[in-house]
Amino acid sequence: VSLNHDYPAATDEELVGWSRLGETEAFEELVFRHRDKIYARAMMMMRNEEEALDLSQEAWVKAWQRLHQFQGDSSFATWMTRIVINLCLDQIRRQKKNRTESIEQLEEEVGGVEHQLTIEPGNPTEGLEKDELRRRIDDAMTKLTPAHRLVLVLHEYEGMEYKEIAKKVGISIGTVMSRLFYARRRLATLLRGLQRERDN
Amino acid sequence: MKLETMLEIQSSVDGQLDNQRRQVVARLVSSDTEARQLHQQLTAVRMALREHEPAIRVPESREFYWSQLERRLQVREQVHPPALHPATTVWRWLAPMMGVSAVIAVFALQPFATTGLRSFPAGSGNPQATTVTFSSEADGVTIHWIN
Repeated sequence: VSLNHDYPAATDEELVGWSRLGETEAFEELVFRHRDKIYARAMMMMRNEEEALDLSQEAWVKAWQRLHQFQGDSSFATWMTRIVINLCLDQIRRQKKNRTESIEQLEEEVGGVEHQLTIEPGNPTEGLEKDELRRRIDDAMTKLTPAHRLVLVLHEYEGMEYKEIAKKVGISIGTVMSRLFYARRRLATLLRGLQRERDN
Repeated sequence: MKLETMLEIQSSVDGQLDNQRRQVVARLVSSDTEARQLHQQLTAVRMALREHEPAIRVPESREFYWSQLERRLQVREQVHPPALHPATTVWRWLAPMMGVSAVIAVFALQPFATTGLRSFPAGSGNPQATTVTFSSEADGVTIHWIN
């Protein structure tokens, strides 16, 4: 169905309205506008291009089928992001069931390793150029366990509070705090290591 | 430093403490070197993450990404057609029904617009009986129903 609307000039809300009436061109425009953000969120959580592509597409399929549930309480981008996050969480849970954790991963997840990281003075990101820092953060995120990365992404990029994360992931607030703490300090250590590499 | 204290410093960085606890942590951070260093480290990492989110883009062209998605949608719709908004579903049935009703009403009421319909007791001996008279001047016809 196409009614020759000016899709690129339309607002997200208008595109959602037309998509609900079956205008696939309107939905295509929504996909074009937000596909990078949705894919980026999946990629940040899964750290696997193939999985991230699959889950981001699955999120769009779900959105198309549930457009009538979008009430406009939040922005369309936020609504979409929540869909992809839920899909990633389901996938992580499925993978966790089938995965044998390393001793290090298990230690990290139950906590107690926080003390192993020393507190060093100074800013671990100091002196790094913006693009370099962005790249380094991306690399460092890959080195975190899925459980730590998940909490960090939900808190830092989705702006969720401890309580919300605990509810969404199905863990206690204490575990959220502990994982977040470990993840941040590990990132600080990784970034500092990169800083030293550069200085030498 | 105890883990609880470290987590409390983190909660302060994240703005998750009440006013009273925040002041306690602020005092600790200003008086204790290790606490201050931890506060600085956590703040720096938090700022770096928020301000330098990695720029990740879909590694496929718009057309290719959409064509893949379109295929998925077609397959899925054959199995589970998309649910329409409840109002849309009701309207889908209501609109044709209202249209048909309107047409029937127009045809049914049209004769009465140009003709007269009167009802009065029949002049017969039966007090229960009534007569309905239909007359059309245009057609030159008068019909009487006696009940």
